[in-house]
Amino acid sequence: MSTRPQPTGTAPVVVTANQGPSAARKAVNYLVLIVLAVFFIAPILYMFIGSLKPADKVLNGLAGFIPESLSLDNYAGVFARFNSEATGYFYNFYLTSLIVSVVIVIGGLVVNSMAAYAFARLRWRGRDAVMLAVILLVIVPFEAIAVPLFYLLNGSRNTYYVQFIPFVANALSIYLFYTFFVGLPKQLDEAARVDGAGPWRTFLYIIVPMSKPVFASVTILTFLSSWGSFLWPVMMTDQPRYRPLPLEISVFQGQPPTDWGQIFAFGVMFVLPLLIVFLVFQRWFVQSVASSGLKG
Amino acid sequence: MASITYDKVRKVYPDGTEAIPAIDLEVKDGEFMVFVGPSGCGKSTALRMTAGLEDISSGRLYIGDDVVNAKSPQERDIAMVFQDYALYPHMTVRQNMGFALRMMRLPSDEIRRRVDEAAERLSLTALLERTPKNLSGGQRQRVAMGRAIVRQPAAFLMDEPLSNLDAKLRVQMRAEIDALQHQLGVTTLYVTHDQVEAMTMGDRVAVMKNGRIQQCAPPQELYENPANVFVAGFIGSPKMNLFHSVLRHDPDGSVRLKFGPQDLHISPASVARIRGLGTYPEGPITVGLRPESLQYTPDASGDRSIDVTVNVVEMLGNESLIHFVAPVEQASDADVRDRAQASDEEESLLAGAGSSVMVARLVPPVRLAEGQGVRLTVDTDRLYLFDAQGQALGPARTP
Ligand SMILES: Nc1ncnc2c1ncn2[C@@H]1O[C@H](COP(=O)(O)OP(=O)(O)OP(=O)(O)O)[C@@H](O)[C@H]1O
Ligand SMILES: [Mg+2]
Repeated sequence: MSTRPQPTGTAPVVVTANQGPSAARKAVNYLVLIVLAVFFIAPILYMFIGSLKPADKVLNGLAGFIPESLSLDNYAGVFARFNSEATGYFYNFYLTSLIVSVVIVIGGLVVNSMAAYAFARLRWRGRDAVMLAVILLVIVPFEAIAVPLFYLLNGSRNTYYVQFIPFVANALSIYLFYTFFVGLPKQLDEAARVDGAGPWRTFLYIIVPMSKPVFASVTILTFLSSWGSFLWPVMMTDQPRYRPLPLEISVFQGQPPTDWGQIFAFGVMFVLPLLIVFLVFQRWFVQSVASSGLKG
Repeated sequence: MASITYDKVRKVYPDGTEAIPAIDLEVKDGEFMVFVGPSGCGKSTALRMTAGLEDISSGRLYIGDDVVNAKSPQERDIAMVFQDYALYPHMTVRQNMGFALRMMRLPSDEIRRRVDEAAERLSLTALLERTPKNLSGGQRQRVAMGRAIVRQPAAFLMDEPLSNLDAKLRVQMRAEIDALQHQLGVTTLYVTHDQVEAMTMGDRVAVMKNGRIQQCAPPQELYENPANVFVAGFIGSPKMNLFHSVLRHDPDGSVRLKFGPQDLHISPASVARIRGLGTYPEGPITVGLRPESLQYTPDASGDRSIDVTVNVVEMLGNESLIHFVAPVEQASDADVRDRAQASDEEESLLAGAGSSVMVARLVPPVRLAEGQGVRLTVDTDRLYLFDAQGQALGPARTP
């Protein structure tokens, strides 16, 4: 600030502050982060290593972390134990989970984003009232409507579609899309309209490409909840052919002989798609946030 | 290309704000029309109604011969340049410029050709594959222009397209837009709150206040014959000095206007030129005096000179602006106040009751000391006179 000459004799002060945290501070930060990371990663690592070890070496305290006598036997074992009409086939569980989750995620992205666009940008009678209803629905837990829903859909038990139909339209997703769309500059919609795009093409060419972050987070959230869905499949399926992975993993755990190596192998196969989806979309998410220079 | 006609167009926002009570205006085919006025006067509203982005509450809007009230923006065949440019951030410059053509489902080689041509015209060729965030403000502005001209639309609508640029770039783009418009000959509505921009660009300028057009005329006409006090005060920089005075008729046909202890005389010849002045009732009248109608004449004597005290001197190289305290009351028309900047009001306070600060533009510049008493000569042939309603006396004008 000051341009006044320094009094003679005063040594020039070298300012080192504001060049980032000090070394000690940094060390503490790293320490905290490392501890946290260990807490989060350790169980997954434990499961992964355990899934590759013979049963007697799995639940072995800290030694469970030691990778020794590794093999894929446990995986083969899981497949072998689900290999008849009575137990169901492992690939059927996987297929069920995949079909149901993919339909819920993709169908949900389409339906909920379009609904949110209608709430955020189109003008229609009763819009605010309906939006309020949607927001109220966000706080209603699924457990509260499970029983009425059960009676409603009782005729469709043991199908794929009964497992995804109730979850495609999702109030929370609509709400997430809505808040994001409302925050996008309205001028871009207007520019698109003047450029000759109707509501559909404005949505498709302008809104959607600018909304990658919210599409990514809704994908992650929806996949997480649908992949782990438990209560509804318990109510609606009793044939192994239509049972998803979370149901079978619990069945498997309760079935003697309890082989922790195989249980962990099942667990790894269950978690793998979650990790993949998360990693793929998280990168997209971070990228989009970094590149969204919306103001022209 | 088409004309645009407003027939009693009115806008009431859903919350009850009457932004525009009524606009009647015909913008001719190929004309460059500027809407100018203070903030909140309804310029953007008028433009957005034209674009179809706002509903028209009543009245009729024609583009060409068609009533377009009920038409959506995409059916109106107009292109718009937004203040913040509204470039699509996820598209390259080429995609931005070609978007409207793509929406028209033109074949892609035709789109390519037209975008290349527009880019050439606007020196954007080297930037076609960049995204907007990697462009400077001026370049973005050009892309926004480019997006409009590839369309070859019936009309261009521009809402303060230069207000985000720095002063130098603004002057340059002003000239370029003007040239472009004349080359293309496309009907253009241009909104600005900057009267200099309005004066330099428009074929005609519509001066707006409170949602009404006060006067619509070519720039020179606005300057020379403002229809009312508002236009007089709005157009011109530095702005016109407006003050209250008292009018007296002399037996010889001349007119005297009270200026503090002194009088300004208007010769019978001039009185005859200003319609309505010869018969104007004696008494209060509002007088306007352009800063350039004052001259520094230390030795002058007579009935056209005034004695005032210098307040502030601005030396501007080829001219000087002398702010001086005059023994008259500033015309307190609320209309004029709209545009009065805080500094003006401060100056008036400084001057005290019964006096006001006025400005003279002296060419060549004269260096005067602050606080010095000086004698200025008023060109009384170029005075502006306004009645009690603020309407100008003088040649008949169409609003
Ligand atoms: N969506 C709206 N709802 C209610 N009133 C509005 C709305 N938009 C504008 N107005 C009001 O209408 C009047 C005109 O606004 P408008 O934006 O047309 O002014 P403007 O001349 O463009 O001003 P500026 O130079 O500041 O852009 C203002 O009084 C404003 O408050
Ligand atoms: Mg505006």
